[in-house]
Amino acid sequence: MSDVPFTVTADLELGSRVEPFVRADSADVRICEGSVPDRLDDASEAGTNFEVSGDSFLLHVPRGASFLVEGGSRITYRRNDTSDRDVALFLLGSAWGALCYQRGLIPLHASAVIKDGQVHAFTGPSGAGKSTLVAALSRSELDFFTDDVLIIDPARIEPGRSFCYAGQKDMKLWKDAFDLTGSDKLGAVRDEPSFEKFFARPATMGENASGLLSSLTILKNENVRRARTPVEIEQISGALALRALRESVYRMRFANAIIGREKLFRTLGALISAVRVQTFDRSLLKSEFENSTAVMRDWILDHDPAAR
Amino acid sequence: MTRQPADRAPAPDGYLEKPIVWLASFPKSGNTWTRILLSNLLAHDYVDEDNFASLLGSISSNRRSFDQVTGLPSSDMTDDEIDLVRPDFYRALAAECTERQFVKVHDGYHDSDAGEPLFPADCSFGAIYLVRHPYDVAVSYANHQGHENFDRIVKQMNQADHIMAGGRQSQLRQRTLGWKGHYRSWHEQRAIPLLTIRYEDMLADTAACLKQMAAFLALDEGKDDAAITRAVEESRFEKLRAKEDAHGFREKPEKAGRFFNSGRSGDGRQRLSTEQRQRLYEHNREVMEELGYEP
Repeated sequence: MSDVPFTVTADLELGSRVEPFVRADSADVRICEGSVPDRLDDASEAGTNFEVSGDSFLLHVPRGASFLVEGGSRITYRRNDTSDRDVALFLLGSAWGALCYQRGLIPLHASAVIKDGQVHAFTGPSGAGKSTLVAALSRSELDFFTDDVLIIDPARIEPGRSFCYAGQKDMKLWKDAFDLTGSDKLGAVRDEPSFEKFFARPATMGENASGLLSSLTILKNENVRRARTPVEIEQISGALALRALRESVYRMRFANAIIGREKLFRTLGALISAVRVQTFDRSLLKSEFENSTAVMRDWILDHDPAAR
Repeated sequence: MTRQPADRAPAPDGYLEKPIVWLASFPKSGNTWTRILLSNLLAHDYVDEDNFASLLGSISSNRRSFDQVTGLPSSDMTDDEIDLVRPDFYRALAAECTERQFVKVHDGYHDSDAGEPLFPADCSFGAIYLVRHPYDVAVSYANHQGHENFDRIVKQMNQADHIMAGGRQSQLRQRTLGWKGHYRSWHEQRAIPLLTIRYEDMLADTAACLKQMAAFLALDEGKDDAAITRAVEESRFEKLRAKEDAHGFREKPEKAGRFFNSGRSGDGRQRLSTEQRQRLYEHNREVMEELGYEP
């Protein structure tokens, strides 16, 4: 079984983030520069900067590149004077997510570590600390697996187990997260000098780009505001888990428009049956980071998937 | 106190064409209290121990909502790039809603780099502007940030380029323009009808201020004295404090001891040094005088 859900060939440097996906030729998906329309005819769904029509998806980045994703097999980009770096950044973000949906895959907004083939994923909105937590966990007996995107193949969810794929093999961390996590700083994420976010290589890198999804943890930061136990891991199920998981879907509106709500919710329902879903409530204060990270590390190391 | 410049358009009758009501203020000026008051007036059945403010609508800097509606990854964008999209983001929110939305705003009223106002008039019913004596704002804002370094707060309030959040934060960047700049920016714009309420007037006669807001928003509930009385009673500071003590408050910053502190007027005069008060007064004198705030 392949380590990646699809392969790509591209006429620009995509960097090491999606290295396992890249082939020199004969790939499932072709990425190339070309003509991209300003609008799609008969769009069934539109946000401020994206449109979906049939098997076409269009995205315009403000003062940046435009992307047309078609039929799950082609991404055309119009550069609009932006650098390779910026084109690749947005291509591997929203456009990549749309590509996954077109190919029948479900990308989750999650970062993850891997231990003995078991993947432990963390999800939450931007700013929740997914990447920082995973980077820190990657220096304590766990290996980094993916940053920002975790890909689920509905066809590979079975009773009691679900396969998953790494969406991005490089991390993106804000400047102040390097001291917290001990990660190596690589190049800048953007060409804007004031944008202090960098690609990062965590302390330990897992070789695998796929694995069995063992737990999916939703990051929360509520207890400390509500005078409750500040660090808490709580398993959730049923409607609560489904609601939490829905929030974790990468660009929910893309999902609804491209694969449809029914298939999406059927997949999420199956995923809940196959994987432990839990919340991790913790302080976001830097002074508490080491302690709360240790709590999660210990939980993962103690966790026996067979006991579920 | 209501300020309606003669050349400002009156509030329109139909609000679904323009469903957004902005609750605009510099931080710690009574915005949350106003949301709670309006919630207890309009959506009382949905207020519970976990949900202090049940009004529909969020905050202008909601990053999660921005990412969903625009399809863009805001965490990979510069704050200025995000601002380019924000007017259309609010229009899209307005286009999708079936009821009036009350959106909290700590941004000053300003344009994006493309020269377009961040808050489009074409989807805005109006704005309620809350303002509070800057000395009291300083004390409350310091508590909100979890420290008592009033020098730092005074500097922020006097800075035209003062910003909140942005970058790695869970909320989008908000350019407050400083205390004076915030007030000026909202009161010099002519596109969005504006009602200004002083925090001190809310303390002195909460019911009267709530009625003013209801009238501005063309709410029938404003004519129901019993509903007004109940909303005021349910939103009393003592009640909110007790509720926070018992159940916590979701919007409390981690670093702050509690969200609902004294709520009083006059703390700043006692707790700021003469020099700190002087610096605030010298920088903000014109606006303070306009609002009747004594040094």
